[in-house]
Amino acid sequence: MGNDEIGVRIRRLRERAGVQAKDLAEALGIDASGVSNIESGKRAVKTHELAQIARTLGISSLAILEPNSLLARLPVAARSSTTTLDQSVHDRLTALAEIHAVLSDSSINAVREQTEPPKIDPRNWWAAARELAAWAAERIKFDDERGRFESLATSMEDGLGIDVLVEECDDSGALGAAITDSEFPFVYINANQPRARALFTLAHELGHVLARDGATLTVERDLSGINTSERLANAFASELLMPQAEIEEILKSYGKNAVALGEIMKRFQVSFESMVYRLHNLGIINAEGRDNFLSIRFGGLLAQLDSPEDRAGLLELRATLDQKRPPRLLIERLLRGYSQGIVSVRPLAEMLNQDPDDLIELLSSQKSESLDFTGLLRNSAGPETSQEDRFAGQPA
Amino acid sequence: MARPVLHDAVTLNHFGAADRLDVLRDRHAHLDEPRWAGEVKREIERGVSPVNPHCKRVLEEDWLGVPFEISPQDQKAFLFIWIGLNEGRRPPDQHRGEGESIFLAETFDGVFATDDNGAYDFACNRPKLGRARVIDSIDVLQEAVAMGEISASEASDIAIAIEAAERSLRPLHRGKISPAYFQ
Repeated sequence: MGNDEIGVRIRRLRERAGVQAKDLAEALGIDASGVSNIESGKRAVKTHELAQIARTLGISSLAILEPNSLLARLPVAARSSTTTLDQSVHDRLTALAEIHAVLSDSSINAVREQTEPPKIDPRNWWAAARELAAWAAERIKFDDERGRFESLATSMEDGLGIDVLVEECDDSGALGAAITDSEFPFVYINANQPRARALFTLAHELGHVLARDGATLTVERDLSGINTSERLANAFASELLMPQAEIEEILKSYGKNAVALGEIMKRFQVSFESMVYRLHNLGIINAEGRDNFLSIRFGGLLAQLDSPEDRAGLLELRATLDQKRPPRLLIERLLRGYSQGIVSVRPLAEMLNQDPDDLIELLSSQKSESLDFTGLLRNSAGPETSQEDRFAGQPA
Repeated sequence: MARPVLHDAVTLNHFGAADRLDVLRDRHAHLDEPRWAGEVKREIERGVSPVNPHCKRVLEEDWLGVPFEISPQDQKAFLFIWIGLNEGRRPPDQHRGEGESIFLAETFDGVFATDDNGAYDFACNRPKLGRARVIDSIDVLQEAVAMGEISASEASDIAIAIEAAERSLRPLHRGKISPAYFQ
Protein backbone atom coordinates (compact mmCIF):
# COMPACT_ATOMS: atom_id res chain seq x y z
CA MET A 1 0.00 0.00 0.00
CA GLY A 2 1.28 3.46 -0.87
CA ASN A 3 1.16 6.55 1.31
CA ASP A 4 -1.95 7.77 -0.51
CA GLU A 5 -3.93 4.59 0.18
CA ILE A 6 -2.79 4.40 3.81
CA GLY A 7 -3.67 8.05 4.31
CA VAL A 8 -7.17 7.64 2.88
CA ARG A 9 -7.67 4.54 4.98
CA ILE A 10 -6.62 6.33 8.19
CA ARG A 11 -9.00 9.19 7.47
CA ARG A 12 -11.91 6.81 6.84
CA LEU A 13 -11.21 4.81 10.00
CA ARG A 14 -10.74 8.01 12.04
CA GLU A 15 -14.09 9.33 10.87
CA ARG A 16 -15.76 5.96 11.53
CA ALA A 17 -14.38 6.01 15.07
CA GLY A 18 -15.60 9.59 15.54
CA VAL A 19 -12.13 10.89 16.41
CA GLN A 20 -11.28 14.49 15.52
CA ALA A 21 -8.08 15.17 13.56
CA LYS A 22 -6.85 17.44 16.34
CA ASP A 23 -7.31 14.65 18.92
CA LEU A 24 -5.36 12.23 16.75
CA ALA A 25 -2.64 14.87 16.30
CA GLU A 26 -2.44 15.28 20.07
CA ALA A 27 -2.12 11.51 20.58
CA LEU A 28 0.70 11.43 18.02
CA GLY A 29 2.44 14.48 19.46
CA ILE A 30 2.30 16.32 16.12
CA ASP A 31 0.31 19.32 14.95
CA ALA A 32 -2.94 19.09 13.00
CA SER A 33 -1.18 19.80 9.71
CA GLY A 34 0.89 16.64 10.30
CA VAL A 35 -2.27 14.54 10.43
CA SER A 36 -3.54 16.31 7.35
CA ASN A 37 -0.29 15.48 5.53
CA ILE A 38 -0.54 11.83 6.58
CA GLU A 39 -4.18 11.54 5.49
CA SER A 40 -3.48 13.18 2.13
CA GLY A 41 -0.50 10.90 1.53
CA LYS A 42 2.01 13.76 1.53
CA ARG A 43 4.03 12.14 4.25
CA ALA A 44 4.58 8.50 5.25
CA VAL A 45 3.39 7.17 8.59
CA LYS A 46 6.28 6.16 10.81
CA THR A 47 6.00 2.72 12.40
CA HIS A 48 5.59 4.01 15.94
CA GLU A 49 2.95 6.46 14.68
CA LEU A 50 0.99 3.65 13.01
CA ALA A 51 0.65 1.82 16.32
CA GLN A 52 -0.41 5.00 18.09
CA ILE A 53 -3.00 5.75 15.42
CA ALA A 54 -4.42 2.23 15.75
CA ARG A 55 -4.52 2.52 19.54
CA THR A 56 -6.29 5.88 19.40
CA LEU A 57 -8.90 4.57 16.96
CA GLY A 58 -9.37 1.30 18.88
CA ILE A 59 -8.36 -0.92 15.97
CA SER A 60 -5.50 -3.16 14.90
CA SER A 61 -2.66 -1.68 12.83
CA LEU A 62 -3.42 -4.47 10.37
CA ALA A 63 -6.84 -2.92 9.79
CA ILE A 64 -4.97 0.03 8.28
CA LEU A 65 -2.37 -1.93 6.33
CA GLU A 66 -4.62 -4.77 5.11
CA PRO A 67 -8.00 -3.38 4.03
CA ASN A 68 -9.33 -6.79 3.00
CA SER A 69 -8.34 -8.63 6.14
CA LEU A 70 -10.48 -9.92 9.00
CA LEU A 71 -8.98 -7.16 11.16
CA ALA A 72 -10.32 -4.55 8.74
CA ARG A 73 -13.77 -6.15 8.99
CA LEU A 74 -13.82 -5.94 12.79
CA PRO A 75 -15.67 -2.85 14.00
CA VAL A 76 -13.74 0.16 15.28
CA ALA A 77 -15.99 -0.14 18.29
CA ALA A 78 -17.56 -3.44 19.26
CA ARG A 79 -21.23 -3.74 18.49
CA SER A 80 -22.60 -4.21 21.97
CA SER A 81 -26.01 -5.54 22.94
CA THR A 82 -26.28 -2.51 25.18
CA THR A 83 -25.00 1.00 24.75
CA THR A 84 -22.01 0.45 27.03
CA LEU A 85 -18.93 -0.55 25.09
CA ASP A 86 -16.63 -3.13 26.58
CA GLN A 87 -13.21 -2.10 25.40
CA SER A 88 -11.24 -4.78 27.25
CA VAL A 89 -13.14 -7.62 25.54
CA HIS A 90 -12.91 -5.83 22.21
CA ASP A 91 -9.14 -5.43 22.66
CA ARG A 92 -8.77 -9.08 23.65
CA LEU A 93 -10.64 -10.38 20.60
CA THR A 94 -8.83 -7.96 18.29
CA ALA A 95 -5.49 -9.19 19.63
CA LEU A 96 -6.53 -12.83 19.12
CA ALA A 97 -7.64 -12.02 15.56
CA GLU A 98 -4.21 -10.47 14.99
CA ILE A 99 -2.55 -13.68 16.18
CA HIS A 100 -4.85 -15.61 13.83
CA ALA A 101 -3.73 -13.35 10.96
CA VAL A 102 -0.05 -13.94 11.74
CA LEU A 103 -0.53 -17.72 11.94
CA SER A 104 -2.65 -17.83 8.77
CA ASP A 105 -0.01 -15.86 6.89
CA SER A 106 2.31 -18.81 7.53
CA SER A 107 -0.40 -21.28 6.51
CA ILE A 108 -0.93 -22.40 10.10
CA ASN A 109 -4.63 -23.02 10.00
CA ALA A 110 -6.99 -24.99 12.19
CA VAL A 111 -6.64 -28.73 11.61
CA ARG A 112 -10.37 -29.33 11.96
CA GLU A 113 -12.53 -28.33 9.06
CA GLN A 114 -15.42 -26.03 9.72
CA THR A 115 -18.83 -27.35 8.75
CA GLU A 116 -21.03 -24.88 6.92
CA PRO A 117 -24.32 -24.23 8.73
CA PRO A 118 -27.51 -23.96 6.67
CA LYS A 119 -28.31 -20.61 5.10
CA ILE A 120 -31.10 -18.97 7.06
CA ASP A 121 -33.46 -16.07 6.62
CA PRO A 122 -32.67 -13.89 9.65
CA ARG A 123 -35.87 -11.87 9.19
CA ASN A 124 -37.77 -14.97 10.28
CA TRP A 125 -35.63 -15.29 13.40
CA TRP A 126 -37.72 -17.90 15.21
CA ALA A 127 -37.71 -20.37 12.31
CA ALA A 128 -34.04 -19.60 11.68
CA ALA A 129 -33.18 -20.33 15.32
CA ARG A 130 -35.02 -23.67 15.20
CA GLU A 131 -33.34 -24.65 11.93
CA LEU A 132 -29.88 -23.78 13.22
CA ALA A 133 -30.49 -25.51 16.56
CA ALA A 134 -31.63 -28.71 14.80
CA TRP A 135 -28.51 -28.61 12.64
CA ALA A 136 -26.26 -27.98 15.64
CA ALA A 137 -27.91 -30.65 17.79
CA GLU A 138 -26.80 -33.30 15.27
CA ARG A 139 -23.19 -32.23 15.79
CA ILE A 140 -23.09 -31.53 19.50
CA LYS A 141 -22.80 -34.27 22.07
CA PHE A 142 -23.86 -33.30 25.58
CA ASP A 143 -22.03 -35.45 28.08
CA ASP A 144 -23.30 -35.28 31.67
CA GLU A 145 -20.03 -36.76 32.96
CA ARG A 146 -17.97 -33.90 31.57
CA GLY A 147 -20.67 -31.35 32.25
CA ARG A 148 -22.88 -29.66 29.69
CA PHE A 149 -20.74 -26.54 29.49
CA GLU A 150 -17.50 -28.38 28.76
CA SER A 151 -19.12 -30.87 26.41
CA LEU A 152 -20.74 -28.05 24.42
CA ALA A 153 -17.43 -26.18 24.26
CA THR A 154 -15.58 -29.32 23.14
CA SER A 155 -18.21 -30.12 20.51
CA MET A 156 -18.01 -26.58 19.18
CA GLU A 157 -14.27 -26.97 18.72
CA ASP A 158 -14.17 -30.57 17.47
CA GLY A 159 -17.38 -30.64 15.48
CA LEU A 160 -17.83 -27.07 14.29
CA GLY A 161 -14.30 -25.63 14.25
CA ILE A 162 -15.26 -22.81 16.65
CA ASP A 163 -12.76 -21.94 19.38
CA VAL A 164 -13.95 -21.34 22.95
CA LEU A 165 -11.94 -19.32 25.47
CA VAL A 166 -13.12 -19.01 29.08
CA GLU A 167 -11.31 -16.62 31.36
CA GLU A 168 -11.94 -14.01 33.99
CA CYS A 169 -12.65 -10.81 32.14
CA ASP A 170 -11.21 -7.46 33.19
CA ASP A 171 -14.71 -6.05 32.89
CA SER A 172 -16.86 -8.13 35.22
CA GLY A 173 -20.02 -6.86 33.50
CA ALA A 174 -19.31 -8.64 30.21
CA LEU A 175 -20.90 -12.08 29.92
CA GLY A 176 -19.38 -13.16 26.64
CA ALA A 177 -18.42 -12.16 23.13
CA ALA A 178 -17.86 -13.69 19.73
CA ILE A 179 -16.08 -13.14 16.46
CA THR A 180 -18.77 -14.28 14.05
CA ASP A 181 -16.66 -14.07 10.90
CA SER A 182 -16.31 -17.49 9.26
CA GLU A 183 -12.58 -16.91 8.77
CA PHE A 184 -11.97 -17.09 12.53
CA PRO A 185 -15.07 -18.03 14.51
CA PHE A 186 -14.27 -17.51 18.17
CA VAL A 187 -16.34 -17.46 21.36
CA TYR A 188 -15.22 -15.75 24.54
CA ILE A 189 -16.91 -16.42 27.90
CA ASN A 190 -16.36 -14.52 31.13
CA ALA A 191 -15.58 -17.10 33.84
CA ASN A 192 -16.90 -14.78 36.48
CA GLN A 193 -20.60 -15.67 36.18
CA PRO A 194 -22.90 -18.45 37.45
CA ARG A 195 -22.52 -21.78 35.65
CA ALA A 196 -26.09 -21.83 34.39
CA ARG A 197 -25.77 -18.37 32.86
CA ALA A 198 -22.35 -19.20 31.38
CA LEU A 199 -23.85 -22.23 29.60
CA PHE A 200 -26.66 -20.13 28.16
CA THR A 201 -24.17 -17.41 27.14
CA LEU A 202 -22.03 -20.02 25.38
CA ALA A 203 -25.03 -21.35 23.43
CA HIS A 204 -26.18 -17.77 22.72
CA GLU A 205 -22.77 -16.87 21.25
CA LEU A 206 -22.82 -20.07 19.20
CA GLY A 207 -26.14 -18.86 17.80
CA HIS A 208 -24.52 -15.60 16.73
CA VAL A 209 -21.62 -17.43 15.05
CA LEU A 210 -23.88 -19.85 13.17
CA ALA A 211 -26.32 -17.13 12.12
CA ARG A 212 -23.54 -15.16 10.40
CA ASP A 213 -25.79 -12.16 10.36
CA GLY A 214 -23.18 -9.79 9.00
CA ALA A 215 -21.74 -8.67 12.30
CA THR A 216 -18.12 -9.57 12.93
CA LEU A 217 -17.96 -9.05 16.66
CA THR A 218 -20.60 -9.14 19.36
CA VAL A 219 -20.19 -8.36 23.03
CA GLU A 220 -22.91 -9.26 25.54
CA ARG A 221 -23.45 -7.45 28.79
CA ASP A 222 -26.87 -8.98 29.24
CA LEU A 223 -28.91 -11.43 27.21
CA SER A 224 -32.01 -9.34 26.61
CA GLY A 225 -33.54 -9.71 23.17
CA ILE A 226 -33.25 -6.07 22.14
CA ASN A 227 -33.12 -6.77 18.41
CA THR A 228 -33.72 -9.56 15.91
CA SER A 229 -30.14 -10.79 16.09
CA GLU A 230 -30.24 -11.10 19.89
CA ARG A 231 -33.68 -12.73 19.82
CA LEU A 232 -32.42 -15.26 17.29
CA ALA A 233 -29.39 -16.07 19.47
CA ASN A 234 -31.58 -16.46 22.57
CA ALA A 235 -34.10 -18.65 20.75
CA PHE A 236 -31.26 -20.76 19.35
CA ALA A 237 -29.76 -21.25 22.82
CA SER A 238 -33.15 -22.24 24.29
CA GLU A 239 -33.82 -24.72 21.48
CA LEU A 240 -30.38 -26.27 21.73
CA LEU A 241 -30.19 -26.48 25.51
CA MET A 242 -33.81 -27.34 26.32
CA PRO A 243 -35.28 -29.54 23.57
CA GLN A 244 -39.06 -29.43 23.51
CA ALA A 245 -39.52 -33.20 23.50
CA GLU A 246 -37.40 -33.66 26.63
CA ILE A 247 -39.19 -30.88 28.49
CA GLU A 248 -42.54 -32.46 27.67
CA GLU A 249 -41.24 -35.82 28.83
CA ILE A 250 -40.18 -34.38 32.21
CA LEU A 251 -43.52 -32.66 32.66
CA LYS A 252 -45.27 -35.91 31.79
CA SER A 253 -43.20 -37.92 34.28
CA TYR A 254 -43.29 -35.48 37.19
CA GLY A 255 -46.48 -33.55 36.51
CA LYS A 256 -46.65 -29.79 36.31
CA ASN A 257 -45.20 -28.98 39.72
CA ALA A 258 -42.17 -27.48 41.45
CA VAL A 259 -40.22 -30.75 41.36
CA ALA A 260 -40.60 -30.90 37.57
CA LEU A 261 -39.35 -27.36 37.21
CA GLY A 262 -36.36 -28.17 39.40
CA GLU A 263 -35.73 -31.27 37.30
CA ILE A 264 -35.74 -29.21 34.08
CA MET A 265 -33.18 -26.82 35.57
CA LYS A 266 -30.94 -29.66 36.78
CA ARG A 267 -31.25 -31.78 33.63
CA PHE A 268 -30.40 -28.93 31.29
CA GLN A 269 -28.17 -26.96 33.71
CA VAL A 270 -30.07 -23.76 33.05
CA SER A 271 -31.16 -20.88 35.25
CA PHE A 272 -34.66 -20.42 36.62
CA GLU A 273 -35.22 -17.45 34.29
CA SER A 274 -34.08 -19.35 31.16
CA MET A 275 -36.42 -22.18 32.05
CA VAL A 276 -39.40 -19.88 32.59
CA TYR A 277 -38.84 -18.12 29.26
CA ARG A 278 -38.51 -21.49 27.54
CA LEU A 279 -41.80 -22.72 29.00
CA HIS A 280 -43.41 -19.55 27.68
CA ASN A 281 -41.74 -19.94 24.23
CA LEU A 282 -43.21 -23.42 23.98
CA GLY A 283 -46.69 -22.27 24.99
CA ILE A 284 -46.62 -24.38 28.15
CA ILE A 285 -47.29 -21.24 30.17
CA ASN A 286 -48.74 -17.95 28.99
CA ALA A 287 -47.29 -14.44 29.40
CA GLU A 288 -49.08 -13.92 32.69
CA GLY A 289 -47.77 -17.22 34.01
CA ARG A 290 -44.27 -16.30 32.88
CA ASP A 291 -44.45 -12.99 34.75
CA ASN A 292 -45.86 -14.67 37.85
CA PHE A 293 -43.00 -17.17 37.90
CA LEU A 294 -40.45 -14.44 37.32
CA SER A 295 -41.88 -12.48 40.23
CA ILE A 296 -41.61 -15.38 42.68
CA ARG A 297 -38.04 -15.90 41.42
CA PHE A 298 -35.67 -18.78 42.04
CA GLY A 299 -36.06 -18.49 45.81
CA GLY A 300 -39.76 -19.22 45.46
CA LEU A 301 -39.04 -22.47 43.65
CA LEU A 302 -36.42 -23.51 46.20
CA ALA A 303 -38.92 -23.00 49.01
CA GLN A 304 -41.29 -25.45 47.32
CA LEU A 305 -38.74 -28.28 47.26
CA ASP A 306 -38.61 -30.58 50.28
CA SER A 307 -35.59 -32.67 49.33
CA PRO A 308 -32.21 -31.14 50.42
CA GLU A 309 -30.65 -33.04 47.51
CA ASP A 310 -32.92 -31.30 45.00
CA ARG A 311 -32.23 -27.90 46.54
CA ALA A 312 -28.46 -28.49 46.63
CA GLY A 313 -28.50 -29.53 42.96
CA LEU A 314 -30.20 -26.28 42.00
CA LEU A 315 -27.98 -24.10 44.15
CA GLU A 316 -24.94 -25.60 42.43
CA LEU A 317 -26.09 -23.92 39.23
CA ARG A 318 -25.58 -20.56 40.86
CA ALA A 319 -21.91 -21.27 41.70
CA THR A 320 -19.48 -19.20 39.67
CA LEU A 321 -18.01 -20.96 36.65
CA ASP A 322 -14.60 -19.77 37.82
CA GLN A 323 -12.40 -21.78 35.47
CA LYS A 324 -9.89 -20.86 32.83
CA ARG A 325 -10.36 -22.80 29.62
CA PRO A 326 -7.91 -22.24 26.78
CA PRO A 327 -9.17 -22.37 23.18
CA ARG A 328 -7.99 -25.78 21.93
CA LEU A 329 -7.80 -25.04 18.20
CA LEU A 330 -5.86 -21.83 18.71
CA ILE A 331 -3.53 -23.51 21.21
CA GLU A 332 -2.73 -26.21 18.61
CA ARG A 333 -1.99 -23.51 16.05
CA LEU A 334 0.08 -21.52 18.53
CA LEU A 335 2.17 -24.60 19.33
CA ARG A 336 2.88 -25.08 15.62
CA GLY A 337 3.56 -21.36 15.25
CA TYR A 338 5.87 -21.42 18.25
CA SER A 339 8.00 -24.25 16.88
CA GLN A 340 8.28 -22.44 13.55
CA GLY A 341 9.24 -19.11 15.12
CA ILE A 342 6.02 -17.38 14.07
CA VAL A 343 4.94 -16.54 17.61
CA SER A 344 6.80 -16.38 20.89
CA VAL A 345 5.93 -18.38 23.99
CA ARG A 346 4.06 -15.39 25.45
CA PRO A 347 0.57 -15.85 23.93
CA LEU A 348 0.71 -19.56 24.78
CA ALA A 349 1.85 -18.90 28.35
CA GLU A 350 -0.84 -16.31 28.81
CA MET A 351 -3.62 -18.59 27.59
CA LEU A 352 -2.36 -21.62 29.51
CA ASN A 353 -1.80 -19.55 32.66
CA GLN A 354 1.83 -20.64 32.76
CA ASP A 355 5.02 -18.82 33.61
CA PRO A 356 6.69 -18.08 30.22
CA ASP A 357 10.13 -19.21 31.41
CA ASP A 358 8.74 -22.51 32.73
CA LEU A 359 6.90 -23.08 29.47
CA ILE A 360 10.03 -22.40 27.42
CA GLU A 361 11.85 -25.02 29.48
CA LEU A 362 9.02 -27.50 29.06
CA LEU A 363 8.76 -26.98 25.30
CA SER A 364 12.54 -27.11 24.85
CA SER A 365 12.73 -30.46 26.57
CA GLN A 366 10.14 -31.79 24.12
CA LYS A 367 12.46 -30.94 21.26
CA SER A 368 14.80 -33.77 22.24
CA GLU A 369 14.22 -35.91 19.17
CA SER A 370 16.48 -38.70 20.38
CA LEU A 371 14.11 -39.68 23.17
CA ASP A 372 13.00 -43.28 22.67
CA PHE A 373 10.07 -43.87 24.98
CA THR A 374 9.59 -47.48 23.87
CA GLY A 375 13.21 -48.25 24.64
CA LEU A 376 13.04 -46.38 27.93
CA LEU A 377 10.00 -48.39 29.00
CA ARG A 378 11.52 -51.74 27.88
CA ASN A 379 14.81 -51.12 29.66
CA SER A 380 13.05 -49.90 32.78
CA ALA A 381 11.04 -53.07 33.24
CA GLY A 382 11.72 -55.36 36.20
CA PRO A 383 10.93 -55.65 39.89
CA GLU A 384 12.23 -53.29 42.54
CA THR A 385 13.81 -54.75 45.60
CA SER A 386 11.06 -53.66 47.97
CA GLN A 387 7.74 -51.90 48.13
CA GLU A 388 9.53 -48.93 49.72
CA ASP A 389 11.64 -48.62 46.58
CA ARG A 390 8.60 -48.70 44.34
CA PHE A 391 7.03 -45.78 46.15
CA ALA A 392 10.22 -43.86 46.87
CA GLY A 393 9.82 -41.68 43.80
CA GLN A 394 6.13 -40.99 44.14
CA PRO A 395 5.42 -37.46 43.12
CA ALA A 396 3.69 -35.21 45.63
CA MET B 1 31.66 -7.57 5.81
CA ALA B 2 30.88 -8.69 9.36
CA ARG B 3 27.40 -9.47 10.57
CA PRO B 4 25.96 -6.55 12.56
CA VAL B 5 24.80 -7.20 16.11
CA LEU B 6 21.43 -5.66 16.95
CA HIS B 7 21.36 -4.89 20.65
CA ASP B 8 18.15 -5.04 22.63
CA ALA B 9 17.61 -2.45 25.38
CA VAL B 10 17.86 -5.12 28.11
CA THR B 11 21.39 -6.10 27.10
CA LEU B 12 22.60 -2.53 26.63
CA ASN B 13 21.20 -1.64 30.05
CA HIS B 14 22.82 -4.74 31.59
CA PHE B 15 26.29 -3.66 30.52
CA GLY B 16 25.44 -0.05 31.38
CA ALA B 17 24.36 -1.09 34.90
CA ALA B 18 27.69 -2.90 35.37
CA ASP B 19 29.41 0.19 33.93
CA ARG B 20 31.18 -2.07 31.41
CA LEU B 21 29.80 -0.92 28.07
CA ASP B 22 33.42 -0.99 26.91
CA VAL B 23 33.18 -4.79 26.70
CA LEU B 24 30.27 -4.55 24.26
CA ARG B 25 32.05 -1.81 22.32
CA ASP B 26 35.25 -3.86 21.97
CA ARG B 27 33.25 -6.87 20.83
CA HIS B 28 30.85 -5.20 18.40
CA ALA B 29 31.90 -1.68 17.41
CA HIS B 30 34.00 -2.94 14.50
CA LEU B 31 31.08 -4.85 13.03
CA ASP B 32 28.67 -3.43 10.47
CA GLU B 33 25.80 -1.15 11.37
CA PRO B 34 22.99 -0.97 12.36
CA ARG B 35 23.76 -1.69 16.01
CA TRP B 36 20.45 -0.65 17.55
CA ALA B 37 16.90 0.05 16.48
CA GLY B 38 15.06 3.34 16.84
CA GLU B 39 12.65 1.96 19.43
CA VAL B 40 15.50 0.54 21.51
CA LYS B 41 16.95 4.02 21.82
CA ARG B 42 13.53 5.45 22.66
CA GLU B 43 12.98 2.79 25.35
CA ILE B 44 16.31 3.67 26.94
CA GLU B 45 15.54 7.38 26.71
CA ARG B 46 12.24 6.76 28.49
CA GLY B 47 14.14 4.97 31.25
CA VAL B 48 16.47 7.88 32.00
CA SER B 49 16.12 8.92 35.66
CA PRO B 50 18.32 9.49 38.71
CA VAL B 51 17.66 5.89 39.81
CA ASN B 52 18.71 4.54 36.38
CA PRO B 53 22.07 6.19 35.68
CA HIS B 54 22.96 3.34 33.30
CA CYS B 55 20.43 4.59 30.72
CA LYS B 56 22.34 7.85 30.34
CA ARG B 57 25.58 5.89 30.02
CA VAL B 58 24.16 3.84 27.15
CA LEU B 59 22.92 6.93 25.33
CA GLU B 60 26.43 8.40 25.52
CA GLU B 61 27.98 5.48 23.61
CA ASP B 62 28.82 6.96 20.20
CA TRP B 63 29.83 3.60 18.72
CA LEU B 64 26.19 2.49 18.67
CA GLY B 65 25.78 4.86 15.72
CA VAL B 66 22.50 6.10 14.29
CA PRO B 67 19.53 4.02 15.50
CA PHE B 68 17.82 2.38 12.56
CA GLU B 69 14.17 3.12 11.89
CA ILE B 70 11.87 0.59 10.20
CA SER B 71 10.77 1.95 6.83
CA PRO B 72 7.05 2.34 6.04
CA GLN B 73 7.40 -0.39 3.37
CA ASP B 74 8.49 -2.86 6.03
CA GLN B 75 5.73 -2.10 8.51
CA LYS B 76 3.67 -5.21 7.83
CA ALA B 77 6.62 -7.59 8.16
CA PHE B 78 7.67 -5.89 11.39
CA LEU B 79 4.11 -5.88 12.70
CA PHE B 80 3.82 -9.64 12.27
CA ILE B 81 6.96 -10.13 14.40
CA TRP B 82 5.71 -7.65 16.98
CA ILE B 83 2.31 -9.35 17.27
CA GLY B 84 4.06 -12.69 17.75
CA LEU B 85 6.13 -11.24 20.59
CA ASN B 86 3.15 -10.00 22.56
CA GLU B 87 0.88 -12.01 24.83
CA GLY B 88 -2.32 -11.30 22.92
CA ARG B 89 -4.41 -9.57 25.55
CA ARG B 90 -4.62 -6.39 23.47
CA PRO B 91 -3.09 -5.18 20.22
CA PRO B 92 0.67 -5.08 20.77
CA ASP B 93 1.98 -2.34 23.03
CA GLN B 94 5.07 -3.96 24.54
CA HIS B 95 8.32 -5.55 23.33
CA ARG B 96 8.54 -3.17 20.38
CA GLY B 97 12.32 -2.74 20.70
CA GLU B 98 12.77 -6.52 20.61
CA GLY B 99 10.54 -6.73 17.54
CA GLU B 100 12.44 -4.03 15.65
CA SER B 101 15.79 -5.61 16.60
CA ILE B 102 14.72 -9.06 15.41
CA PHE B 103 13.37 -7.61 12.17
CA LEU B 104 16.64 -5.72 11.54
CA ALA B 105 18.81 -8.72 12.47
CA GLU B 106 16.92 -10.75 9.88
CA THR B 107 16.99 -8.01 7.25
CA PHE B 108 20.71 -7.23 7.64
CA ASP B 109 21.74 -10.87 8.01
CA GLY B 110 22.84 -10.00 11.53
CA VAL B 111 22.83 -11.26 15.09
CA PHE B 112 20.28 -10.39 17.80
CA ALA B 113 21.57 -9.70 21.31
CA THR B 114 19.05 -9.89 24.13
CA ASP B 115 18.72 -11.05 27.72
CA ASP B 116 14.94 -11.25 27.58
CA ASN B 117 14.29 -14.98 27.76
CA GLY B 118 11.05 -14.86 25.75
CA ALA B 119 12.57 -12.79 22.95
CA TYR B 120 15.75 -14.92 22.95
CA ASP B 121 13.74 -18.13 22.64
CA PHE B 122 11.49 -16.66 19.92
CA ALA B 123 14.46 -15.44 17.88
CA CYS B 124 16.16 -18.84 18.18
CA ASN B 125 13.07 -20.41 16.60
CA ARG B 126 13.00 -17.92 13.73
CA PRO B 127 14.19 -19.70 10.56
CA LYS B 128 16.20 -16.67 9.43
CA LEU B 129 18.11 -16.44 12.72
CA GLY B 130 18.31 -19.76 14.58
CA ARG B 131 20.27 -20.41 17.74
CA ALA B 132 23.60 -19.51 16.13
CA ARG B 133 22.53 -15.91 15.53
CA VAL B 134 21.08 -15.06 18.91
CA ILE B 135 23.28 -14.11 21.86
CA ASP B 136 22.89 -12.84 25.41
CA SER B 137 25.18 -11.02 27.84
CA ILE B 138 26.79 -14.25 29.04
CA ASP B 139 27.60 -15.21 25.42
CA VAL B 140 29.24 -11.81 24.93
CA LEU B 141 31.29 -12.21 28.11
CA GLN B 142 32.31 -15.77 27.19
CA GLU B 143 33.42 -14.58 23.74
CA ALA B 144 35.34 -11.68 25.30
CA VAL B 145 37.13 -14.15 27.57
CA ALA B 146 37.84 -16.50 24.66
CA MET B 147 39.31 -13.60 22.66
CA GLY B 148 41.51 -12.59 25.60
CA GLU B 149 39.80 -9.22 25.97
CA ILE B 150 38.89 -9.79 29.61
CA SER B 151 39.71 -12.46 32.18
CA ALA B 152 37.25 -15.10 33.35
CA SER B 153 37.11 -13.57 36.80
CA GLU B 154 36.46 -10.15 35.25
CA ALA B 155 33.58 -11.66 33.24
CA SER B 156 32.21 -13.25 36.38
CA ASP B 157 32.43 -9.92 38.23
CA ILE B 158 30.51 -8.19 35.40
CA ALA B 159 27.77 -10.81 35.49
CA ILE B 160 27.57 -10.52 39.29
CA ALA B 161 27.40 -6.71 38.95
CA ILE B 162 24.51 -7.06 36.48
CA GLU B 163 22.59 -9.23 38.94
CA ALA B 164 23.54 -6.98 41.87
CA ALA B 165 21.86 -4.14 39.97
CA GLU B 166 18.69 -6.26 40.19
CA ARG B 167 18.79 -7.01 36.49
CA SER B 168 18.03 -10.53 35.31
CA LEU B 169 20.19 -12.86 33.32
CA ARG B 170 18.40 -15.60 31.42
CA PRO B 171 17.18 -18.45 33.71
CA LEU B 172 19.70 -20.80 32.09
CA HIS B 173 22.57 -18.93 33.76
CA ARG B 174 21.10 -18.32 37.18
CA GLY B 175 23.09 -19.79 40.06
CA LYS B 176 25.97 -20.73 37.77
CA ILE B 177 27.98 -17.51 37.70
CA SER B 178 31.63 -18.03 38.67
CA PRO B 179 34.93 -17.64 36.80
CA ALA B 180 34.70 -21.30 35.77
CA TYR B 181 31.51 -20.54 33.83
CA PHE B 182 33.49 -18.28 31.50
CA GLN B 183 36.53 -20.48 30.87
